[in-house]
Amino acid sequence: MAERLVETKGIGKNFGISPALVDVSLTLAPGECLGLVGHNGAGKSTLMNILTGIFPPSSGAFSLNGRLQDAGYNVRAANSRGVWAVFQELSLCLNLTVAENLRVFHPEFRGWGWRKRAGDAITAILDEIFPGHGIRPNQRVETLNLGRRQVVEIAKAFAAGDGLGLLILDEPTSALDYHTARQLIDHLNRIKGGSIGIIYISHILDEVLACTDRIVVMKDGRISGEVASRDATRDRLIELMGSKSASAGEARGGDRQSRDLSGRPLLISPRRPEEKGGLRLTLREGEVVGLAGLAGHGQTDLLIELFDWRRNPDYRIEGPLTFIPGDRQRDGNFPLWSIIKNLTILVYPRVRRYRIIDLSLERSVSGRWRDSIGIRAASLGDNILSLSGGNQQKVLFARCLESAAKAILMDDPTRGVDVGTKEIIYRLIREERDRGRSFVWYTTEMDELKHCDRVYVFRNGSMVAEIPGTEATEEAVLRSSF
Amino acid sequence: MSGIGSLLARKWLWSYLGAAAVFGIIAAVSQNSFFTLSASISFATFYILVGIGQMLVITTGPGNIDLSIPNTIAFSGSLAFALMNENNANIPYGLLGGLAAAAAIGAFNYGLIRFILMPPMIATLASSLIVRSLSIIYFRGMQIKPPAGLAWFVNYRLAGVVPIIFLFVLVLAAMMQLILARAQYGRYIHAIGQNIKAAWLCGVDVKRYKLITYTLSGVFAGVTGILLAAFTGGATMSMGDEYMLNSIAVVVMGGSSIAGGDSNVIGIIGSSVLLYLIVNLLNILGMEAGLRYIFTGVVIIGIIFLSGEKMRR
Repeated sequence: MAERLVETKGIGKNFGISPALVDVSLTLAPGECLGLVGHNGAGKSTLMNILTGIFPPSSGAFSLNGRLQDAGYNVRAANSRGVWAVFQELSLCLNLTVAENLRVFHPEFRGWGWRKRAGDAITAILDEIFPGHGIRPNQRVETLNLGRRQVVEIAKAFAAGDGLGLLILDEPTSALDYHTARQLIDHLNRIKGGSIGIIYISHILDEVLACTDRIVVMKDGRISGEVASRDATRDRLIELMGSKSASAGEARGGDRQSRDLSGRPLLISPRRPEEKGGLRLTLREGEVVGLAGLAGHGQTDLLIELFDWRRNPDYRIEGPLTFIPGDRQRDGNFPLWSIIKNLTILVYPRVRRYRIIDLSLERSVSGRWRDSIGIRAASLGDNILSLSGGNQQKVLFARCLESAAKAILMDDPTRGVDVGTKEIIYRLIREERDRGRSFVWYTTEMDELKHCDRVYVFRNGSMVAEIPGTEATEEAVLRSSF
Repeated sequence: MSGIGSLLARKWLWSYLGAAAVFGIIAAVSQNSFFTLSASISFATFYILVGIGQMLVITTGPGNIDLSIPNTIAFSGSLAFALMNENNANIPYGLLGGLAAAAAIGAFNYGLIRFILMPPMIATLASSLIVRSLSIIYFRGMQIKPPAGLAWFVNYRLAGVVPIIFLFVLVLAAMMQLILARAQYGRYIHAIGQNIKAAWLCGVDVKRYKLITYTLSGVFAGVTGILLAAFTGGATMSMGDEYMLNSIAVVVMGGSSIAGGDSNVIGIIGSSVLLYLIVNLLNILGMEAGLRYIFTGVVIIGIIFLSGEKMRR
């Protein structure tokens, strides 16, 4: 019989009356890399929270190394038994350095010179997994961009060294550029077959296919299928996730035909002719312009500059613009507010009577969006954080699309969002585009560039290439980014 | 059972329970307890006013606070009464002048925060010292009495029991509650307090709304200064001194989040009445001043502990 690193038996979890997990049984052997895929809200994160001791299951049991875990199992116990996790929402302390963060999670770095030892340890790991990472151990985490923070977060888990038994990676590459994500996948492939068991969760199916031995698909809190990675295909996985393969097919094909927009009015245009520093962006009515290139090479900075349209020295802009962030917690959510209040903040003039917000009008506007894009909430009066990440993102889209802004800036808006939600978002963008709305769309996913009419590629803070959407293949973009 | 649970989860409730408990004790130890309640309500009026102003500022997010309230009270009250010059006909000028000065102090506070990048605590304390110096220069030693009409108004009690200024402040509080919950201004300052970057990305003019908020805090202190001076029979330099910490205490006891983004007008009313009832109870019991402060401090800690204000972020 094969050795069992993890074995769950009929695990269930209820939040209130709604079941988040139903009868989940799975096993993992040491050295195995297990892929876990499914829509947001399918129960993947809930299952991982149980495995890492964040909360206990409502029913069922699980064992680590054959030892049954009881009610006393918590995060500390999980760590001491070799379970480490990298979550999508980062856990680093921003005001501490990289080395100091290591100590927070690995208290064995103590005594004289712990900073040096912790710094050396993390640097060694970073060098091994992400050569050319450019991160110094005495750098404060807040000075790192999102992609680099994610890299540190991953390295932090590996710092458990021999104590690392089960490594859970929950959307580890959503903030990483293509090149860095590749480094991680290569590393996972190198350590496979050793002593570490890995659970790899991602919405990017090609990555899951590239680094796992076996893939478990979840749907509505249950395991809906299991396939060996070498036999699996994207279509098969999407089918098991339960989304319509027809819409997936449509998305893969995109609408790769060039549209002639040259007669449409300009919404964004440079004030001065192009300088040697790089290209300048233009945006016409009804156009979708993509921003590509390695993550953190100036795309977000440009979006922020454009958003501050009244004061922009470089561009003539037809305002106002709206902004859809990818980092919901940091840039989008109002965490004390209901879904309704989060949704209507841009459109008070439209839900007011005599300067006072009409609650029923506010509710009906939100209800319309819930119905049209399927915001999955028990009640729209619930706190925004009660929604899954994908549904929070839908609220942010509804917020911006409800406004009358002609142009919408998007900062990697599908970061960590499930396939089904992505399809809804792509459909929304197409529909709004056809109604004359324009989009500037920074994306870290090559796959999304096919929805764009034109793509600008960034390198070191400036735009170095402009590619028509019909030719914006992964290869073309990569050629310009390096 | 769950009904009681959700009621107890309302943070403002504890201040009302506390007020009811203290009133119960007063009724037990004193014959004219309703007179005590009426007097407490009159004084609580001023706590409510400064509390609302302070709450607006605190709502705009971590670090935002107005420590200039005491000296704004003294200065605007003194200026208003100097302009009124004990003459009923001059009341409008006095009101206008006092409130304009208070608004200017509030705007100046935000000017220091925005342009000199001072932390709000230091900025408002610094401008407070300037205002205090101005008071010393212009109003020291002056016996500034209220005009008869104003004095009559602030002391008037409906049916001999309910102070009319309390009703006036209740109406004002109700208006502020409506503005905070249902007007663009209110929603925006809550948004700023919860996530300033997200608010900016939603097109909220953060600087403008903070300016308005600090100015409003000044205006509320100004209204307090004028009414308080009329109520106590004259403006003095130290009349606002107790309002610095108490303005913060009523905000926090009332269930507003000290970290911002979550305001509570109803709670301010309850905790203001509670604070004054305590003062009166301790007076009735003949407790000396030092002990009174200790006891008040213990009650504030207790209410905040019970209402479960957690440190966020």
